[in-house]
Amino acid sequence: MTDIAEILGVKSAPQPIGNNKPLLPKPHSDLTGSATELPTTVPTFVRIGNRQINPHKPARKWTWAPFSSSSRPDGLLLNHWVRANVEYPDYPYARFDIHLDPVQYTIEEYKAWLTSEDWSQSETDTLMEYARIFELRWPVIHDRWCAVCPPRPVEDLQHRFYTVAAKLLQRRVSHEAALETKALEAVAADSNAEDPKLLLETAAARSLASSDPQHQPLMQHLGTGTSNKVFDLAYEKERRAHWEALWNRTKEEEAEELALRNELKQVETQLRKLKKRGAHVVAANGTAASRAATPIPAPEVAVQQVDQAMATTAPTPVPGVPYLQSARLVLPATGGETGISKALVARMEALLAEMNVPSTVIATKRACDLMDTVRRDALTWLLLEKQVIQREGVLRARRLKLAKMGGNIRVVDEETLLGIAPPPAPRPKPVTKAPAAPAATAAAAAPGKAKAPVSKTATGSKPAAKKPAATASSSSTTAASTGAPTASTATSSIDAKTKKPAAKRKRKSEDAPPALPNAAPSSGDVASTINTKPKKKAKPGTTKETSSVSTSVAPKAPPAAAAPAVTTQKENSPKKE
Amino acid sequence: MAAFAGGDDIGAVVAEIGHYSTKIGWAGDDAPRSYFPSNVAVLRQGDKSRRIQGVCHDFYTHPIQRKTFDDGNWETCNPIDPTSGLMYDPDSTQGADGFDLLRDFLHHGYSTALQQAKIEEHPFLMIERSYNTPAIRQQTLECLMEEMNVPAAFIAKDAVLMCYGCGRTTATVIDIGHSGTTVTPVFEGFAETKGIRRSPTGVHAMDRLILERLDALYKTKQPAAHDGIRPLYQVRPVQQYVDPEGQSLPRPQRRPSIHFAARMELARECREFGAGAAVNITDTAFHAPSKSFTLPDGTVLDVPSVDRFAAADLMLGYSPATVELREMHLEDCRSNLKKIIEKSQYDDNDDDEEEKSEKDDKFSEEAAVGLSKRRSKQPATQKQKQLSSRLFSNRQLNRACTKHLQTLLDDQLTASPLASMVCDAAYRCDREQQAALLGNVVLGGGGSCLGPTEQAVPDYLRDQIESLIHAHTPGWRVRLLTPSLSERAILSWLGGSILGSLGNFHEMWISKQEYEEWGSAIVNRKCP
Repeated sequence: MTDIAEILGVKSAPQPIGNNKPLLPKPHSDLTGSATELPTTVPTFVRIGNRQINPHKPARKWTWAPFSSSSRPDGLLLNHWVRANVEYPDYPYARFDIHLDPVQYTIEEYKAWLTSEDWSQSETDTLMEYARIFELRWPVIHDRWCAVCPPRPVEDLQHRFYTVAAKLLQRRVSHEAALETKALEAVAADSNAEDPKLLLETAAARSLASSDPQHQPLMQHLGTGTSNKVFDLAYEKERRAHWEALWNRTKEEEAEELALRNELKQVETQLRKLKKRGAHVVAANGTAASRAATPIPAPEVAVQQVDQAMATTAPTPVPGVPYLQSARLVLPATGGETGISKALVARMEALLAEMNVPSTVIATKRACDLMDTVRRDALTWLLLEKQVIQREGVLRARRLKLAKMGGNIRVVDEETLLGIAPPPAPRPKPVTKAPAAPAATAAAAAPGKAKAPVSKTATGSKPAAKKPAATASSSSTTAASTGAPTASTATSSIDAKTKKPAAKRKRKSEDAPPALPNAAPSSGDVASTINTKPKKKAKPGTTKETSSVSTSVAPKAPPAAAAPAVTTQKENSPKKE
Repeated sequence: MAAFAGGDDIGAVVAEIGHYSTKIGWAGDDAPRSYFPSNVAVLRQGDKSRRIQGVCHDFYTHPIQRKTFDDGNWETCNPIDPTSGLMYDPDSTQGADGFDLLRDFLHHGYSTALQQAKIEEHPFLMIERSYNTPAIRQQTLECLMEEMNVPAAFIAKDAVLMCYGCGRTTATVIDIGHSGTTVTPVFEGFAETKGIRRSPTGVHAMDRLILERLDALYKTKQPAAHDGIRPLYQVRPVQQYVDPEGQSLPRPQRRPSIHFAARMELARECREFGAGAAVNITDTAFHAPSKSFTLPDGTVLDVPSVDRFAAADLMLGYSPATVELREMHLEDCRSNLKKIIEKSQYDDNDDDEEEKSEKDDKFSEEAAVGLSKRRSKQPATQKQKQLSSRLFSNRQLNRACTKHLQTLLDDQLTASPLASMVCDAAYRCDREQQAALLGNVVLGGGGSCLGPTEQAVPDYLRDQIESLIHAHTPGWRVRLLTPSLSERAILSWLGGSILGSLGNFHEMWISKQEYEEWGSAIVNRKCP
């Protein structure tokens, strides 16, 4: 066998430049031929993605090194591959070790606040532990629970867990507020000054400390995923009952619902179409202006209209021109200003056909006169019928409107409503809610009043608003983060902020009378404040405003009241900072 | 280090001991390095304790003891009890075969496939059944920590890992295994125990059916044969059996259990390499052609398509004959379970007080639910530990498992076809979960590798499940997730491989120190 190198006249294969050592060991030294002696072609640069790799440089070294992670308390040592000579401060994945904080209580706390007839302490302990381990995955918690303890529905477990957490948080908030009150009072006694801001803040803290826990502002504890508001068991049960009912529907019920839905859709499209055309829907329940747009003509107009229409087409005898009686048998004119609609003429023909009136008659004068009269009467009748339908619609709409306004007035005679009779003399507006009205108007006036001094004394209120936040942050270790930005921003934002509680107050006071018996709490302090101002709700912020502070400073109360709330929450969850 | 891309190789080993096969390999690999049958031949000590003396991993074709051909005393042994599907020996009161075999299997796997890696150096992820009892998990952890001396361990449920293997955290998982079929709802990485459904018809039952058919076919070909098809060792030429001196020996006799195992192996071969079991997708059973299968003695059997479809139908079908067959298997399983429970109750009666106190310590109710307290006393010395765990563990184990076996008997066992099992499992969970659970259905396990095409079983199952749930909720769609045929049988191992190589899994391992501090009960808390 001849070597290819010999054929080509090459003595030996060219040597790689610079390095005479073969780059790869010869796999089979007994093989002969140039293939084994050819240089291995090593490219100078290799691109991988955006990186350029120089294959002549030695690769970076990796080592199989032991490591431990800060996420493990026991310092387990395992090995993994890392770059040699690189210091890792911590295991990089340790930052993903995030867990819920446990909801914890002492035995004394449990005995004081958390005892329940349905739940023993060991069961509660188990529940808290499971909630932490399974991180509030309630289906899983429920599953494990049923394996251990007597089965309960999942909403009961949720209720117990969130109630315990809320009660603890409420007590702790009250406790913190009480401490702060004491501290502030001590400061006030020391300085002996009549600083209104200090008084204000003390009052806010006192009211938070003494108010019924259920009226505390919402505070969430992110570490445990709980808040100080109690789980709504009744709502949850109802929701589940609905779900169950939905599940247990029969096929027929489902089909019925589907049919109803389709029907509703059709009605809605119809309504939309009508609305697009405008006209009568707007007119029926709309304003006087829109009613004027499409007036319903008086009954006499119909007769005139028909006469005119008939007159325009009926030929008049002209001397010298032949006059045919049968020319009078043509249909009345349609369209135009005085004309009647084609549809109406068609309906008239249908009506006549129904009554067996022949469409063609022998055109004598008598027959044509009769024919004319019949047609005229039919048209008039149809026009009047249309008017009656329109007026009935208007009547229905007005009745609806009346009912909506809550009126129990005697219905006036139909003629008045239909606009046939001359309009009656204007009467006073119906009074619906006589007893609630003064309160509502008073409350409605409140935002305006409250807003006025702030917007007027824009420059003066700025430092005034800043002060409580500043003192709040000095009294506690952590800064009151929500209070500070409100104070430092321009007056417009203060306005925006103050509007909100005022609006809320208005809403509250509107439904105050029914809510009042329920809102009377056991706590004596709150009860007394409520008694002095029975129209207001027992919300901490609002009671304070109305009882102890003048209206001009009232708007600044919410940030000050929020300050202790924020600090307590932060102190409860220091880990997540 | 591929920072935060997800994986961090810490040299973890993932192992699953199933009823049919054992898979051991490195976490992060895409296939187990070591894959061998769990059914092994063992030689027991002659005395009363019947402790295992020797283990042979490959006994189907070769003589077990190649030098002496003294096979007569060997018998098969499986670490998994076929009735309960757990690593549990209801019969033995002294040694625990399952845990002895676990040790042997690990040594075998590490030495043959993992480059002689040392067990003491690598964290170990063990895969268990999702219906495993807390006591068995504790015992497994104890075995790993004290006898194998692993640095860190974790015990994960196979259903959860199958979910991970398909890239989901919430799904209903169908596992068609060897000893039975299990359906487990998995919600956000946690198996829901109340939804577990289990049927005793698995691949083993399928193989038995095939074996019966093969025997019947064989009888038509060889009317003289009265004991059915003969495995390889019976038809091997006599001259192969020669002793070291060159003298030929008589054909060795083997125990019935070994004989049966070898015949079952033939049925498996017929299913996997020969005729194959298939789903009847075209409903033309009698027109599909028969397939031939050659037995070791040279007989060629034509397996008709009816037989092939019947095998697959055993798990999936609704026909009266299959339903009856399934009921039969269920009754067998039930009666076996009842026997086990009765036996452990009988054991309960002749207890002495000392044992009882120890039982309260280890397999207590509190320990079982993962709410155990810190271990108060100092850990015992190595010798004491071995004594206590070995001598009394099995009785305690039986006692601790009884409650769970009763649940299995009363609640989880069923004979309904697979599609109804899936729906039933999902309907047992919370209403709010059901749409998510039925939306994703994961199919895995060796029994799902049926023909005739790759998508035959998933498609068939999805149609059936949808037709069932659409009676209630017409809008729901079912997505059936399953890997390719080559990965279905090792799906749970793949999930374990993914989990074990995750960087942030590091905090989940149970370390040796934690075990010392909290006792074996920590497994029920850290591996929920």
